[in-house]
Amino acid sequence: MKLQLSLNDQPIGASQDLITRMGIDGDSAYEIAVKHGFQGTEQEWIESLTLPASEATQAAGVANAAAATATQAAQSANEAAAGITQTLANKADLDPSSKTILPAEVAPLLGRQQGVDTSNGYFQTSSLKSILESNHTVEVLFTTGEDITSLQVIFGSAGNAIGPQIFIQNGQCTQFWGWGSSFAINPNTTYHLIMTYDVTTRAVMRMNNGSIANGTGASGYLVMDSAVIGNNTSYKGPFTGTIHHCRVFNYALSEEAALTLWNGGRPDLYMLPASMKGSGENGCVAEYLPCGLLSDSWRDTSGNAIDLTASGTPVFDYNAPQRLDTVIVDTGLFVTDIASGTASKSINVPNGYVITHISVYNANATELTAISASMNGTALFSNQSVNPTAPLWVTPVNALAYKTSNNSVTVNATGNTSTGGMRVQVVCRWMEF
Amino acid sequence: MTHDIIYAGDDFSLCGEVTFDDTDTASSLDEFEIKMLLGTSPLGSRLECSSEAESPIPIFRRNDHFFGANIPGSETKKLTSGKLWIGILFIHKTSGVQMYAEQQTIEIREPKLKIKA
Repeated sequence: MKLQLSLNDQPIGASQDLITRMGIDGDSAYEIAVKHGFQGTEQEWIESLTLPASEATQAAGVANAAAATATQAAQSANEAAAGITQTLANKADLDPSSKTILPAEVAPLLGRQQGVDTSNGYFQTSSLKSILESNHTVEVLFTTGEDITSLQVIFGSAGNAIGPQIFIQNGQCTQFWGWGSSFAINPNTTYHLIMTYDVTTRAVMRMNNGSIANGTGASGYLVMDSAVIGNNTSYKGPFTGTIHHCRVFNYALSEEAALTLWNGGRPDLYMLPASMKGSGENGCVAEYLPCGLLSDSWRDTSGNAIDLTASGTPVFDYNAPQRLDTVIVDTGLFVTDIASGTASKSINVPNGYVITHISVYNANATELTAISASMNGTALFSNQSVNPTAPLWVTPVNALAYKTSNNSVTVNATGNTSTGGMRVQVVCRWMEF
Repeated sequence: MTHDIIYAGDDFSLCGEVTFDDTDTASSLDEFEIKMLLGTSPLGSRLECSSEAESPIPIFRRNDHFFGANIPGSETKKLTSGKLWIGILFIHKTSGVQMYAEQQTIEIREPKLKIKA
């Protein structure tokens, strides 16, 4: 349709085509494609569209398959993660950067322990006697507390002997082995110390945070009765800081090996290779990790776990952790000959936490019987037994009634743990009393 | 009256002639309702003419392809001076299809000074 307008019978403008207002027919996609250079018939144009579409369909199929594979992989990963969780339950967190276990984080996945507060407890053993009377190395990583004035023993030896001593007093830390020296320390500061001793040459090497000094030690007095961590045997030198780990080697480490343990300033990240662990010569014969989870590394030269107490009642006393939902206080594997008596292992539960479970693990060949636990004198359970195949898992009914302080749990057992050891874990839950 | 110039206040007639060709499905203006809008812009003041019977400015059909409207001077006074915009809308009565054209070539001027003798 065309329209010609006239004003007073005089045409105005030119004759014009009318346009459809509700939509104007434009070029088809094919026509537009031709305008932009497409050469071919309309059918070819359609086919040119169909081909990519089919490819897209194929790609979609591939994508779907990939997505399905990814889903499967994710599922597998989840399953694997679940398995890892099971595997690592009661083990430790891994440091994502170093892929190792931070001593400060050696703790069950369910909780986190801050290390052992040795202000009220210590470890003493005579099993290191033969080691300390021969070539040996003592390595400690510790953090001082607020008090650096009073006498505090980190590693000591007792008996009629001059043995390895690491202690702090009057703002100084002393490494002493017949020959030694002191250096100034600060409160709430971490130190990594290594001392080696060669019986034949009496050579003593000291390393303080990667700095090495050499000297000559005393001779003729290496008759050791026991070694102590965290106090002296007269109970007069409790360490008020935190001992992160203590290792005893049955040989004198070379300077190179000592620096390896220093690990460029992160000795807490260094994990002993398996070749250096366990029994035999030239190994770490005692590795004390106060978080307990790895304390089953504490073994004598025969490969057996050693009794951390030659006498008395051992106390595992943990710093009160931050207000975590769940904390597991873990003794690690320990050995004592209780064939004729009881173990009487005592565990101090952090204040503010209530005991929800106690587990007793038996690593020996024979059953442990007459297992009982009490808290501050009140029985939690009694007359239980545990065989090597499955740990004892008890929910004490009276645990909720514990005091808000001095929550000492004593575990007794009858049997012989001298071959494999036993392990006690106390699961606590923060109640915020 | 000067070609394509009108003066506000003057009467004028506005006519349109539609031609159909073989591609058109329509063949007569009888099939359409016609509206004409006159103003200085599509959005400005405007006059509305319609083929509807009640339209104040009716559009008449002379035959099946010719239509027109007579705009009285009283209405053109409402238009301000400037270009006159004209929009013509053809609405197909059965299909609803709207055909449209615009024109903007007419100038409206202020009224001529009239001297009384």
